[in-house]
Amino acid sequence: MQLTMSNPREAKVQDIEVQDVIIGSGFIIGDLKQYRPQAQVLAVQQEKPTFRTDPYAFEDYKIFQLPAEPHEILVDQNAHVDHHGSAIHVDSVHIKSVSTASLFEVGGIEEIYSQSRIKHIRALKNEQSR
Amino acid sequence: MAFTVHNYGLYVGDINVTGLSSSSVFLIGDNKTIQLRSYFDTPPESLIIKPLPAEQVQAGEDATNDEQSS
Repeated sequence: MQLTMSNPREAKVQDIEVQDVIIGSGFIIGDLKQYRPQAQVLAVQQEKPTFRTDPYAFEDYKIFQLPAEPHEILVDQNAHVDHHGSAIHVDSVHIKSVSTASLFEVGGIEEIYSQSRIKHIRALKNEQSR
Repeated sequence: MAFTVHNYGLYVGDINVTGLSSSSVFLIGDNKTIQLRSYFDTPPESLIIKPLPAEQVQAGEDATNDEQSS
């Protein structure tokens, strides 16, 4: 694909507040060629006075063993982007959380390939009352 | 195919976001390619209800049952 971003534009940011950027995520002001985050999560909730992680292993669960689908092959395009010297203006952005192979960006980025795998387990003593 | 993109001003006033999760993108700007994948596994068997001994976590056993039943 020939779409070139050789003339990136300026990012003018006044106020951004992000409380959390966690588990393989990103927060970028500016330009980037490629971003390729991956996250594997075993989310275990259990009713116990002490929490141990050693009984849990990624190898025990199929979701973490499945081969990833190959990324799509995109049709070649001859594209040209003209920004006419214009900038990106941001007055105010407030975000509580960016999580699990996610991205918040102000600017330009050519390629993003993100992947996350999440397995939930809840071990409770009794039925939860509604 | 050949095409030209003309970008002029981009002005953002005020945005509030509670959360971005699991292979998500919030982009103010320009992009060529985005491919996002997210795999979730939360079957009914992932909810285990039984009295648990203090230190004998049976996650390994539960994992085996989980894989067999899925």
